[in-house]
Order: sequence, then C-alpha cells, then structure tokens
Amino acid sequence: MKPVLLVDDSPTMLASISGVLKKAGIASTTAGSGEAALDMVRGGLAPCLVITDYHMPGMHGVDLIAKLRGSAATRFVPMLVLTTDSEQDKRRSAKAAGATGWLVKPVDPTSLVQIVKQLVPGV
Amino acid sequence: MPTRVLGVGHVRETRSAPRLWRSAIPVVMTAFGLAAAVAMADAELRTLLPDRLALLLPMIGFGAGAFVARRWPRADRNAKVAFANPAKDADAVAISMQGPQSGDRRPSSSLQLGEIVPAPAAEARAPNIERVLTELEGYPIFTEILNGQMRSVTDLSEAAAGSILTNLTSADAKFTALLDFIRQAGSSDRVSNVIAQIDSQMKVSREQLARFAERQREDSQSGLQQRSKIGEDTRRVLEVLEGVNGIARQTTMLSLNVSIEAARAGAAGKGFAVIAAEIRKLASEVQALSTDVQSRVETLMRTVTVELQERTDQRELEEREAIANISRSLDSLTDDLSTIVSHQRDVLQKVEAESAAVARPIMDIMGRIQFQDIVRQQLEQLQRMTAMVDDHIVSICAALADPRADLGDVSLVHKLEEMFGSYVMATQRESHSKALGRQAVREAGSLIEMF
Repeated sequence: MKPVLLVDDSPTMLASISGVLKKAGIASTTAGSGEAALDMVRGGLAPCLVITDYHMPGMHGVDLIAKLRGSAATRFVPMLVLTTDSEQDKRRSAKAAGATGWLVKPVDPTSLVQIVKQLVPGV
Repeated sequence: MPTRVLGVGHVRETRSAPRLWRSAIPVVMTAFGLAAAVAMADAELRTLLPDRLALLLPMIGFGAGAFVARRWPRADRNAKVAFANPAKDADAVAISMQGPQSGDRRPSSSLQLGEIVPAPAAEARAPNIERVLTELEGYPIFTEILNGQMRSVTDLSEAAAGSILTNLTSADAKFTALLDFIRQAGSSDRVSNVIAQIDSQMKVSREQLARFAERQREDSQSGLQQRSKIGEDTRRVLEVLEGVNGIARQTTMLSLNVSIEAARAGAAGKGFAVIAAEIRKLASEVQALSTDVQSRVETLMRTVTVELQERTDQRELEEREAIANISRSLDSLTDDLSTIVSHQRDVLQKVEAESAAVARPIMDIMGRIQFQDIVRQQLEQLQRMTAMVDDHIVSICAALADPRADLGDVSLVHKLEEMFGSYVMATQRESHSKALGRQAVREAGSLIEMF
C-alpha cells in the first residue's frame, strides 16, 4: 500500500500525525520541508495522499502542492493543507494550486482518519 | 527661539475651586434640592408655583449638586496628570487649548488656560531625559531575555512533546505486541489445532482402551473355554477312574468267586485260592488308589472351575471399573477442555474490546500533541512582536535624542497594524481586536474545508 506523505517543519507535528495514522493502520512517511518532500517524490516515492503544512521555512505548502501537481507521480493524488492559518485568501490560493482540502490545526484525530479514508478508499 | 508645544494636556478646566467651595457647593445644591422637595410636598406652597417648576426644582437641586460633586474633583485630578517631559532645547512649554503643558511643577490650581509658562532650565531637565533614554535603551536586553525565555519554553515544550510521543509510541507498540500475542495465543485456529490434537490423542486413547477391553473380554472368554475344556477332560478322567473302580470291584468279585471255586476244589485249588486272594488285594488297592485320584481330580476340577472363575470374574470386574474410570476421566477432560476454550474465547473477546477502547484515547493523545506546534507558532509570533517593540523603542530613543527626528511610519498605531497583518491564527486576530476595542471579524472558513 502506498504511504501518506506528511510534510511539516515541526518534528512534533510529524510524529503526532504519523502516530495517529499508524494507530488507524495507515502507513505514512515524513518530510521536514517542502524541498525534502519534492526530492522524495522525484526519487520515486509515490504517495497515496499528501498532507502538508502551509508555513514552512523555504518552500511553503501551496508552492509544494503546485509543484507536486506538475509531477506525474502525484498529479492526481489528493493533497491537504494542515495549518494553524485560517485566512480565506490563503485557502483560495491553496485551492487554485490544486489542494483538495484545508484543515486548521489542531485537527481532531478521528476526523483526520475519516477524511484520509474518504480520500483514499481502502487505505 | 520659537516656543515649542510639546504635547496636549487633557485638562478642560485647570482652575480648581478652593477646597471649602469644592466641598460646600455640592452640599448646598443638594440641600436646596431637598428643601425644594420638602416645600413641594406642602400643598399651600405648591399652589404658589406652576406645576412644572414645582417638579423641576428638586431635580435641579439634586442634579446640580451631583454634577458639581463629580466635575470639580475630576478637573483637579486631570490637572495633575498633565505633565510630560519637555525637550532639552525648549525655551518654554506652551499650554494647549485644552490645558497646561508639562514641565511645569506648579500646583494645577494655579495654572491658567492658554498660559505660557517658562520651561525649566535645560540643566534641570537633562537628568530626567538621560535617565529615560538609558532606561529605554535597556529594553532590547529585556526583550532579548524575554525572547530567550520564550525560545526556552518552545524548546522545552518541543522536547516534552517529543518525549511524550516517543514514550506513547513505545508503550503503544508494547501494548500492541502483547495484544497480538494474546490474540495469536487465543486465536480460534490455534485453539482449534490444540483441541484437534487433544481430541485426536483422546480418540487414540479411547480406541486403545476399547481394544484392551475387547482383548480382556476375549481373554476371559478363552479362559472360560479353557476352563470348560479342563472340566470336560476332568470329567472324562473321573469317568475313566470310575471305570477303573468298576473293574476293581468286578475283579474283587471275580477273585471271591475264584476263592470259592478254589475252596471247592480242595487241595488242588489251594494255589488258586492264594492267587485269588492276591488278586482281591490288588483290586482293593487299585480301587483305593482310584478313589484317591478321583477325589484329587474332583478337588482340582473344583479349583479350576469355581475358584479360578471367581478370581477371573473379580479381576474382570476390577478391570471394567478401571476402564470405566479412565473413560469417565477422558470425558471429564473433554468437558474441561471445552470450558477452557470457551473461557479463552471470552477472554479474547474482552481483550479485543479493551484493545479497541484503549486505541482511541492513545490516538487522541497523539493527535492532541499538535498543541505544541500551535504554542510554538504563537511564541514565535510573540518573539517577532517583541522584536517589533524593540525597533519601536529604538526609534523613540532616536527621536528623544534628536527632537527634529521624524517618527514617520514608526508610530505605535502603524506597528500595531503591522502586527495584526502578521497573524495567522483567528485567535490572534480576535485577541488583538479585543485589546484595541474593535469588533472582531468572524472568519468565514470552517476548521475543515474540502474543496
């Protein structure tokens, strides 16, 4: 089964979300920045879903989504933005870049698992 | 040198009434209101005044008393706060349209609206300005300490959150491993295999037991047949012995007849008489021996057919009881096994249910750790804000040091707007708006929005 790719500059967030997914029986892999995530995909990683933070040093989440949409491996993969930011303009920019949804931290673990299972049936 | 206006005071009226008047006027006005109220209660007096005036007089009295009581002390209080620090190079401090300017240390009651008072000498003001500048220049150290503390809180909370997650993951892994072990140990397949093995072994034991019982029965049958054959043979032996006895009796009779005939023959028969006597004696001994053998054979036959039968029956009975006991034990063992299996199945179901019940809070705790990232971002925002405050203080210091310096965009209002624009969380914007007394704008987007 393809893993969920988690992208966040916070190690705590990566550990938290990957722990939640693991508990739900969903495999995941993590990247500490947008650049690292892009390298992983270019290196052959084919995730079933991408969950990325918005505010990260260097490449921010929406840039990452736009770039991943340009990659054959992730063109049709669902992508979620998980961020503390709740601004409408940023949501619109994420939607325009190809994001599938916008989740404001802290996201309820049960809801997160439910969303992942809806977006990736059989995960 | 032109007169510099260094600020605007908030005093509307600087001239305070003397203390006696300040206290007396509200009392007098209130007393007047009270007297008017009492007078209006009298019907005769009230006829002297129009109705409206009769109603208004007490109200005017009370209202004027209350107004004076409130306003005069405030005017005095406001006059006291109308001081600021004059610049070093100011020649005079101007009293604004609204009140006196700072730098004047005269009692507020002596200040006149629009009065221009001479500024204190520069040498008299300098220590204050220098001190203020020194204090303000010290703020970056204070903010650096504050930022250091906030960074420390961030680092500590991140380390603690990481540790919680690591320990939680480790505990969860061990718990999961334990559950898997219990699940595997008690899985229906495994239990079925164990039951099948035990059942198979018990079946083998039962078959062995049945074969043993059959063999015992066959042995018993064979023993019975052998005993019957022995009895038959013995009866034949007894018949033979009976025949021998008969021959012996006939021989005795014959020898008696020979003895009689020998006696008739006289001397010629003496020899026969001796022979007949010997033959009779021999027949008698044969008969005695035969009787003895017969008695022994009968004893032997009774031993074989009765006592041995009884012992055999007793042994068979004991063996049957032993087999029945073993069979009952096997049945009991099967029942116990079923009970154990049933109990184990219950335990397994309980473990599965508890596992599901524990999984949810563990997942919830893992999810709740997100708070650390939120707190980190809020602290980082606070650090940016303190840096902004730092810059602002530096600008103020520069302006104080050089009165001609233009503050331009570095006003506090501008800084606050800049801060507001840098927020990412709705709660930050809300608390900022609340502090400024603005109506917080409710944000339209939900916490989870699928496009």
